Amino acid sequence: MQRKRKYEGFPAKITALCLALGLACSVSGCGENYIDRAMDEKSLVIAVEADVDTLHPSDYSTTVESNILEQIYDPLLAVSSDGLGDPEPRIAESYEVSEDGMTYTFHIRHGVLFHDGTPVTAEDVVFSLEMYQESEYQGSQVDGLDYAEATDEYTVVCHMSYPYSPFLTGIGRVHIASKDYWEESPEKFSTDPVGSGPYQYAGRNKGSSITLEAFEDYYRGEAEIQTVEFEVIPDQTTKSIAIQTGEVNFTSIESSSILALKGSDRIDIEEVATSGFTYVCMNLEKEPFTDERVRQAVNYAIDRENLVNVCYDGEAEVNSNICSKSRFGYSDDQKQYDYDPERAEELLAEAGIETPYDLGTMLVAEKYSNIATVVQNDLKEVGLEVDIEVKEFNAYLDDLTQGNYTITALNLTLEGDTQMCSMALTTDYIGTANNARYSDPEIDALFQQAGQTNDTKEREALYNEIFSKVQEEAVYGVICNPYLLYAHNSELSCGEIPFEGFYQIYDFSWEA
Amino acid sequence: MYKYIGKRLLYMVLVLLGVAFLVFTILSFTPGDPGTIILGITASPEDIAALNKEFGYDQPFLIRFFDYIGNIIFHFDLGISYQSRQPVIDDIIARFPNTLLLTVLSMSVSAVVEIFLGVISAVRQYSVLDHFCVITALVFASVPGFWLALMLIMVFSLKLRMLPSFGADDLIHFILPTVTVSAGSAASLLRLTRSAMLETIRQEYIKTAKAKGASEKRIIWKHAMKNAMLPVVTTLGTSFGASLGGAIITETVFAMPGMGLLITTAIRQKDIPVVMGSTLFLAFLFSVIILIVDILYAFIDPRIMAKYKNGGGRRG
Amino acid sequence: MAEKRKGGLYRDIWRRYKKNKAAMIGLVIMIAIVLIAVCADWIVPYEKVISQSGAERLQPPSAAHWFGTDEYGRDLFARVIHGSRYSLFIGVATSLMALAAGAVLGASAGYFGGVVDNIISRITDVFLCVPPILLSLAVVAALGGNLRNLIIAITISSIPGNVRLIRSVVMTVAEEDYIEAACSYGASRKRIIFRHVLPNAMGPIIVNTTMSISSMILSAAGLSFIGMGIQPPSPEWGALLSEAEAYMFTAPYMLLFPGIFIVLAALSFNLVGDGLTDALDPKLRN
Repeated sequence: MQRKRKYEGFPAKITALCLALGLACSVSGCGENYIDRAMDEKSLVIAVEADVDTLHPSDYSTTVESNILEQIYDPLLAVSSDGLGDPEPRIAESYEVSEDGMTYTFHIRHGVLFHDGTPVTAEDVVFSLEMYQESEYQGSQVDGLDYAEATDEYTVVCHMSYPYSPFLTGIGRVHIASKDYWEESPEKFSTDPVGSGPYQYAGRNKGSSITLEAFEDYYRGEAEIQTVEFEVIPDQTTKSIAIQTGEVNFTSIESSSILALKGSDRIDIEEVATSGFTYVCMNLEKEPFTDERVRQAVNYAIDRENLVNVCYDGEAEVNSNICSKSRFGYSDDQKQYDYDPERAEELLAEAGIETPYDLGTMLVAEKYSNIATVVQNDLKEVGLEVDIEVKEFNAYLDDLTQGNYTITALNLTLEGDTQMCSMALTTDYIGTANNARYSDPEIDALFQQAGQTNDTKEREALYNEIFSKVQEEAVYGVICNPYLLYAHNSELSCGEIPFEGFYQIYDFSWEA
Repeated sequence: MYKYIGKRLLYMVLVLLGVAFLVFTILSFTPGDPGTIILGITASPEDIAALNKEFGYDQPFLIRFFDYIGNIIFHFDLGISYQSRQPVIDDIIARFPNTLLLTVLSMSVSAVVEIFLGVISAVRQYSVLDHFCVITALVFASVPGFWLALMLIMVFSLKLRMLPSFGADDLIHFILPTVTVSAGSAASLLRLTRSAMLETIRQEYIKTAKAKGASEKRIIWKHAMKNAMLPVVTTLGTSFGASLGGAIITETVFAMPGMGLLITTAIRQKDIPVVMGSTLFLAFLFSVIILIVDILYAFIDPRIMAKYKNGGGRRG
Repeated sequence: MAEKRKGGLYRDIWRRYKKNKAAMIGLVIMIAIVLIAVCADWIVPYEKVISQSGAERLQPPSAAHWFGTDEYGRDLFARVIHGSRYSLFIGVATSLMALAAGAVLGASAGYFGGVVDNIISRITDVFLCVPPILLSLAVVAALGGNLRNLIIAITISSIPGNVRLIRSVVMTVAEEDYIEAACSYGASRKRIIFRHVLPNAMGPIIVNTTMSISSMILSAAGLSFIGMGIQPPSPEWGALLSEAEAYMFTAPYMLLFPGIFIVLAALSFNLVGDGLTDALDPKLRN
């Protein structure tokens, strides 16, 4: 008998519950509040595409982690990653470099406080540098450093193993963390970060959001925006809807959403230049790419303007040079390849290639298959035929780094100083990022020289020599530098977002 | 009865071990090693090797597997995530409530709506109402979940500004995802209820009740319902699994921090401890639910018990 | 005599099926879509599926491009038409493969019982404990995303359901009197399973397979959507939708046309399956 009553009551109760829920929502109007929530003058909601795995100052690996840590930790110096302009003082008030480039001395500003109220001292700086040296993740930021020592409470001297000019650019990305805090609670060190930056960590909901609050005692003055919430939204479309509804105020977006967002007068778009480059990579150890003329032909065959339109909706700078245009060392004198299919056909004929010629398989990772599709079309126009084979990203990387491919297309970012381009061009990096497997003793030597001089003019000349030679030999078929795109509420002023998109919320403000 | 439950529990442990082995094996075929995946191709081979060693990834397959199982059994430890270096169980505890809530809400909504409509369809077989109910349910079941989700966001978030497009802060965030998930499992429950009900209605005792002059409403909702619900209840376990599956893609679209999002991200990153831990957790949950349903069913239907006593299966 | 009775049975089923208008509409749509898939090359040449034109990208539907063009300036009509081949093939191939595997395993388990049943059932239980989509995801992640692997992934994840269904159907049928009778006059086991048990268990199995074609098409689309399915430039419908998602504000038709086709295809198989349920179920005969 009892059971029977249960069957009757169960659906009715649930129905009632649902009705009540629906009513409650419409009456209390919680359907409208959520949109205005984000519009508070002092707060900001930023959408990011993934949750952070760690908030460790040096052992992080993703862009999202870097973006958030950037607000919590301050570096010694603020150095622009394009290699242009002078470093700005941050925790270090001033610095000196010895003539031979073997020692760097940093003078620490007095009165800089960590979020827990303790002062930043030379000890903390040395600790942080050592932590970076040991880091498997960000160790390259302190390349060339032998050891660092605190000569007094506010002076740090860095001793180099060899002169390495990009050292300062790396220093600009070293987060200064508290030694005491690390000793006190090594577990919390990577989950509840304590830095000396403009924002302090205020909590998180795993998988969904991270909250930061302005740090009152920040030495450059308290930030204008008081609370910042990073919301995790993995789906691109959901993200672009959320910025349109106002649930989110600032977010990076993909070019495909641009057209729709540009139409809205409530949303502004920022295009930020990056060092990332999209390119066709040819295996120089395999026929026919051993021949320089074939590589040049491929370079002439690609209609870069069209590719940028199709794959990036126009949101990329056409550039056939591996060094991006806004980077130190770039010059217009270095050869640029323009779209010239006739020239490509001539070069192929010179190289003794009879068209139509079968290049075999073009290996590509799924996320770059759109680039491959367009390149395949362009190559066909000049008589080079390829089939596209799509592989899962990690399997693709295996083949790529081990040279098990003939031709491929991808995007690579060599962040940091221009010197980082050596990763794609020197013998030491065959098997990692030198995917063309290009090996030239002259280039190896030039890069080594450029890394060890501190003279700006001399370095510029060296890079010019390198990129002129590399371009002439058409080592890669670089296509463009995609812009990093940010969409934000038009009432939000974002200042100038620096190269590589390392944004500083400290520079943001709501316009009255 | 206790013997039955005890044996079933033992089976459950074996099944879970099987699940662990199955998923571990499949994952070991995924290309790439965690070190390279985390550090990228610009990292030095030494750093990558060091990281792999730290994860124990340099060990052979079987040793990794037995280490893993041993840790669960002896230390009750699901391991440490490769990506976050935090205990996997923390991730699961943080995400699980959202998925559970979404699944339970979707199941309740679809159960209530579909059982109700299923009964009506059966009672008015071949009427316009019957066709309408069945066809509507089938249409909903034929729409790809992600497509429906996007359309719902377009209409209710972007155009009407009524409901939020992402997140899981409070119940209002669950409305659109619930609609998406329950739509997917709509048709099966409705059809099942309808056919079970049709079968019941035709049985003698219903005809007798009718003949005795009981009102139609009373017959349907009291007598017929009770019997028709038996097969429906047994499938609730399976439909819980289906809702859970539906939640995986739905969570991605609505940026809902649940198990689905956790697992899909972890699969991409080859974060084996997270994939293993959360899959085992879901499998455990699922088998507990199936077990409860089965035990209830055994109570309700004595034939099952009798059969079990005879040795479990028919010998040809 | 037997032949005649059989013909009568099919006529009976058809008569009952015809009464269901929705099922008839479903059948018509299904036939139309199958015809489209078979005749795709005559409707529009495959070249149009891949030929790009930067100048004509993201064009709304027009006389030249009935369904508009995508971000590469490819003709969407051609892509949707040829996409039917991929989607239908995936749906049918996975369903049939899962059915075959399920029939062998399920029938053995259901008929022999005992140890065989135990082993098969336990393994099935292991698979059933993992949500199918998760299993598919893991398999695609391990093997890589292409047509073959997608089919393997979806098939594997739907075999256990089939095993369970067929096992239970076979168990029910095997207990019926006429099987006992066949046993008693000494028919071989193989003969009993294939001549008596399976044909009589066909009803629910046919219905399940028909409807599973539709859920397989949807699963494949779902996997493509989260980037774990067939990769472009193959015009599988799910891949088309996934590409279209990025442009849903500027070019909503890209989401619309493949969407309509996917819904129509899935719906037609569902309607046919639903119609067959009523038509095949002897208990519902009136």
